[in-house]
Amino acid sequence: MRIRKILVEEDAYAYPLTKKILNHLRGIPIEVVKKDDPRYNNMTNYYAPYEPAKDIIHLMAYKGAFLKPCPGTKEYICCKYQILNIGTNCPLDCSYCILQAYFNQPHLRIFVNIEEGLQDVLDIIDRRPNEIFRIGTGEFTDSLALDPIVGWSDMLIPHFSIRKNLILELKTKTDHIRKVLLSPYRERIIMSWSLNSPFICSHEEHGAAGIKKRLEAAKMCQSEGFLLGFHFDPLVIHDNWKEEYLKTIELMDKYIDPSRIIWISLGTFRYIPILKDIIIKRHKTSRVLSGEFIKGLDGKARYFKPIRIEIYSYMYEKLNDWYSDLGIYLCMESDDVWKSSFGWSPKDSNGLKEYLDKRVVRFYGR
Amino acid sequence: MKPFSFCSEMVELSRIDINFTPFSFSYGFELDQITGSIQKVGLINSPIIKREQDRFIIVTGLKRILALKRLGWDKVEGHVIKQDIPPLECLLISLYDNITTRNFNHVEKAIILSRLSEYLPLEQIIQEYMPLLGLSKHRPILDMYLWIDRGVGDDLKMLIVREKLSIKALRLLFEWNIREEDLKIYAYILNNLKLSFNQQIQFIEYSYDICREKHIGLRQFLEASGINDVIENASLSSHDKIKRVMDILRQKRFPKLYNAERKFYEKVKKIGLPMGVSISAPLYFEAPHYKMLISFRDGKELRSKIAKLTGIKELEEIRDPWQEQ
Repeated sequence: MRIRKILVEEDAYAYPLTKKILNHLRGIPIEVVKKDDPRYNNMTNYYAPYEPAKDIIHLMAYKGAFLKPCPGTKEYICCKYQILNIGTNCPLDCSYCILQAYFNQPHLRIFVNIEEGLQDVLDIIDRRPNEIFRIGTGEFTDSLALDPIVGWSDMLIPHFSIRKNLILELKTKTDHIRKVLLSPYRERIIMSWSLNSPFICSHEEHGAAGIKKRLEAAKMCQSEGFLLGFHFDPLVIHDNWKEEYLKTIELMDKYIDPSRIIWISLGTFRYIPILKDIIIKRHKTSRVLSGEFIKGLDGKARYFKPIRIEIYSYMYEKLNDWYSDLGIYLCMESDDVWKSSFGWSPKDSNGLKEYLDKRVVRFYGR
Repeated sequence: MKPFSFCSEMVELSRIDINFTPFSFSYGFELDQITGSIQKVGLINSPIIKREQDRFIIVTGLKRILALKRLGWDKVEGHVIKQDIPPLECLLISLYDNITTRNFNHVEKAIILSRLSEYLPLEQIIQEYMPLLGLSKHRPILDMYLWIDRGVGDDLKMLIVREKLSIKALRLLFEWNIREEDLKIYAYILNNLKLSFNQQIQFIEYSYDICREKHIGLRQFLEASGINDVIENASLSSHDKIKRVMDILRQKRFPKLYNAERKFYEKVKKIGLPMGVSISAPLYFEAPHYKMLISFRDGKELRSKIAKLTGIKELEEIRDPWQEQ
């Protein structure tokens, strides 16, 4: 990862995290920008969305809510996950990534007031002691890709690990686990990896660690006492997909103790219409758009239902053959697809939340 | 921009360059109307021209000069700009002169933005000139208009001018970097098949997806799929051609969905539903429920139809087509 430039908003200078990051990136040109500078507020006016700037870090004090519910839709069953919004965009460059279309500015934005914002988040959590919060930082960015520079894990883990009504999931496609392993905390910190077939990994997940490296990092975390999560999302239909996904499951078997996995999610590739344009423009050899995509009930393109059922059923069977208690669940699917693929369904989003919360309680207690 | 002044001068039309017109944006115009107007009342506004060595360059008034030539005039009273003003200012004179009197078509807007981009930074064009042309201040939109000017052939441009091509369809052709050769084929098809705007988008999207997936060219696909034969078939009506072409495309793009629909509706047909009763699948089979529609004149007829329906054992066979044994 090569950082070419750092943009610092005027009011971001006062925060210790800014100083820490600038110190770490000494020698890289810095441009001080005004908060309301239109060039950085609505970038699509100036930058086409297919021109990301993954080599520019943008330090800013974020004014919105740091804890947000995952933007699921009512048409499909959602796990009611909470996103801790620490920054947006990602230095990795996966062809299928929704972030390419999701944000209207292309820089790697880091919210340097996170420590300040964290207090509000923890207040919310502490005010609702009977609720279980499943929180992750890996939705609007990769949880660990910038950790060597920003040190998010140092900041977050101590606050989250000591609370009894939550888990913090750090989801990544990297092997940047050094800072996490240096932390003395293990409780309620779930180390998660997005996985795919080796073919999709090498053709589509540009800049990400290979599957073997991810699993080696996962193994190290597991041996250090962390619980693991895995996310096969997006599952992509491609030539020999069955054999290819089986290779990844076989590698999991080689490296991972399945009894210390809290959950594995499955989700097939889906996209909003503009993402198709971006993939065609930015990732000319990408295979992810091949296949029969229909317009889903949420307006996103997704594989025709029997295709989704086929791939979910296959993954469910193979993962269950490996270990029968993996907490496998579907991300954003309908009740009938759940039943056809797994033989059971949580019925609705509350049911899925309950299923996953119970696994949290089972592994960590209350 | 400094104010400019001009003097009126009788100029021979042969000395006015109509081939080099860097300040004119007119595209896809007809001369009949302006020719008729000049015939009726004479030339109301003189063109603005700029002296360049032994000839004159048109700043505004290309259509007027072409009309005068058609009418056989050999001289015109032109407003000759006195100063040696830079090209950008000539461009702006032309833009502001035109914008007060007429609307620009999309190709003309593309020409204006493209010409401005030779002299001004893109940010300034986005901020100042896109709103002036009724366009939103959005970089991707600017990119598309620049592409219309620089990357689109006359056949497609004329479809745009005549509003026979939807902007959405045009956007797809731009966003997906369609090759020049394929743009020509699309222009030919859109000229020959009178597709609705929605069908245009589907045609482009499906054919593009198929070609991309199979790594074949558009020409090869249209030949191999039989679409070319349908288009060339003189015995088919325009309506039938469109129906067949769209059916082929759907079948090729969504083979599993196409088969599922066919299987489902064949089964429904075999059930022998009472008259006025129909069963339909959800769009793409995505929502979980099928629908039955019963039309009836009164409650008595409704009861009779329901009674008939309850006696049809085959209704139990209705299920997702991919669950068939």
